[in-house]
Amino acid sequence: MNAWNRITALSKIVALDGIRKHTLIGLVLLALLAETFGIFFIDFFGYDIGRVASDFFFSVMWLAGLLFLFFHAVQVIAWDEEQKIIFAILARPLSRTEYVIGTWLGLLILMLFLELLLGTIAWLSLLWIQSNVGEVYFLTLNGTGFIITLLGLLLTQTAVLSAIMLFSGLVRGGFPVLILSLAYYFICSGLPVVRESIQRQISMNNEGEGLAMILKALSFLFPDMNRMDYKGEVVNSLLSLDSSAIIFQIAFAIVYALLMIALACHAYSRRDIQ
Amino acid sequence: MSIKLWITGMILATYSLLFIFGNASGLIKKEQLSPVMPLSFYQIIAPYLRQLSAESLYIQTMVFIGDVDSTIMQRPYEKSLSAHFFTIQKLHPPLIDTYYSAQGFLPWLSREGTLSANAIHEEGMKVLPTNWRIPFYAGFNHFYFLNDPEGAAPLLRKSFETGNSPRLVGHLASMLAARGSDLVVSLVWIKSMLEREQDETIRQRYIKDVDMLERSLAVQAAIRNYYQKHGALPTRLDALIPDFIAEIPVFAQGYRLNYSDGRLSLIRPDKHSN
Repeated sequence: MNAWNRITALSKIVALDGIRKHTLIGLVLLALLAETFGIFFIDFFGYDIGRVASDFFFSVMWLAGLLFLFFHAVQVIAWDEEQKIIFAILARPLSRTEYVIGTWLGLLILMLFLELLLGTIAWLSLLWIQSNVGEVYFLTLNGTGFIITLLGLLLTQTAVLSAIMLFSGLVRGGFPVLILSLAYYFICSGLPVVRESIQRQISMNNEGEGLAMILKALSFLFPDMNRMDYKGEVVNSLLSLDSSAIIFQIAFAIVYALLMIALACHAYSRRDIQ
Repeated sequence: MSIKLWITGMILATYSLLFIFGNASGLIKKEQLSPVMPLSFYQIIAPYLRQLSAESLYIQTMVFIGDVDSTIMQRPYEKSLSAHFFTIQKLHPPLIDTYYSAQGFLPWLSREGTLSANAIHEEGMKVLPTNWRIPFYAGFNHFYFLNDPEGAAPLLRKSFETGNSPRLVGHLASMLAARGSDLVVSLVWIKSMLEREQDETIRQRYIKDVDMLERSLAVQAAIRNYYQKHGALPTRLDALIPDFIAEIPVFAQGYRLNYSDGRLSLIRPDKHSN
């Protein structure tokens, strides 16, 4: 059995385990409940119904994805370690790198399945809403914009998943990994806001350039999680995005996720699992 | 009956009493809008969900407004209401409902409310340049609430230039420019509208306006000549007759010339004065 076969076999086990633990069905049911509630939510708006509906569905998908990442993905490796399952897995002819990649791939498949399912439901719901309200309230439903937004969401969450894999390699136990992952997420979210505020300070008082440089360097490790938020494009008749900018962002997210996984593999190889 | 059940029953009864008392006495009813969190809070906590945060804040604001007794003169919530609309606009600039609802409530509260609404519209014009209503609202606020026809005219013109507004808006912009003593701008504006207009009834109305503005400009030229000869402005328009102009024009339909502090303006009939 070659390395790829071993990785895919493990990823299949991880994905099936996720289904067996009712993670997926639970999140889908929760998302469906939230999307049903969305009808009441949208009812508060008098004009921009299409935009509000699209924002709502993507927000639900984002929240479902985050719940999956923080409350399922974080636990998977910790569970392997705490229940000593990792010994049984690594006792097979499976390297630690293959273990990391296989687990990551399995979680990624589950996450993709979840988001694509919710994305399909969101698309059908948007079509239904559009056919039920006047043109003035929901003029455009842009298929390309929808796909780009979904892709942006998936890639951002893939980057977070890869970071979680790295933290799992660095510290023991589900709870510390959860705390680290949440801290990482908030730093990624907060850093652009702090950088903007420092930039304003520099333009006003010419102070804080050193701090601005440090923050810029930090954004190498903690990228802006909002970069790939393209929700506005779903209801735009013409895409306002530059295709080269989209390609750059996609490439950036993929390379960042790969870097995190490479670091996670390295961390696992050097780790004392006993 | 066990002691545990007694204690649970007592706590439940106390809670029920407090709940009933709180609702009956109005202690739970909110008289104030809860303070809005700083913008950066929403940006850091959930950057991907900032649109949803804005929409939730919008619903909270609308629910509060729906509960307000508009007959009460004291409005302790006024500043908070403006802050809510500002935050919603900053979090989710393309959401049209924000501008329409801000216009529906803020300007009617006070002068500060009008200024807040116009500041929100100012941002809206940058984000939604093709929406004719936002500059129209801002122009209306200048004219109706701030008694500033000169400020209103360029905004109404902006609204007309989006190409989506009713023709009436362009005409109103021109007449407000004239009222604000910008007679030349008004004339150029009406002439350009006349060139583009196909409807004969509307063309006739524009032709009358052009005639009225040209006669007003003749008076303005007479004032300028008077100043060149005497080194001072006339105190009344009658002083121009007969050396500088044969007669002061009298217009139909209640339009009249107003001269004060050396400024000549064309006043449109006030429908409320009768």
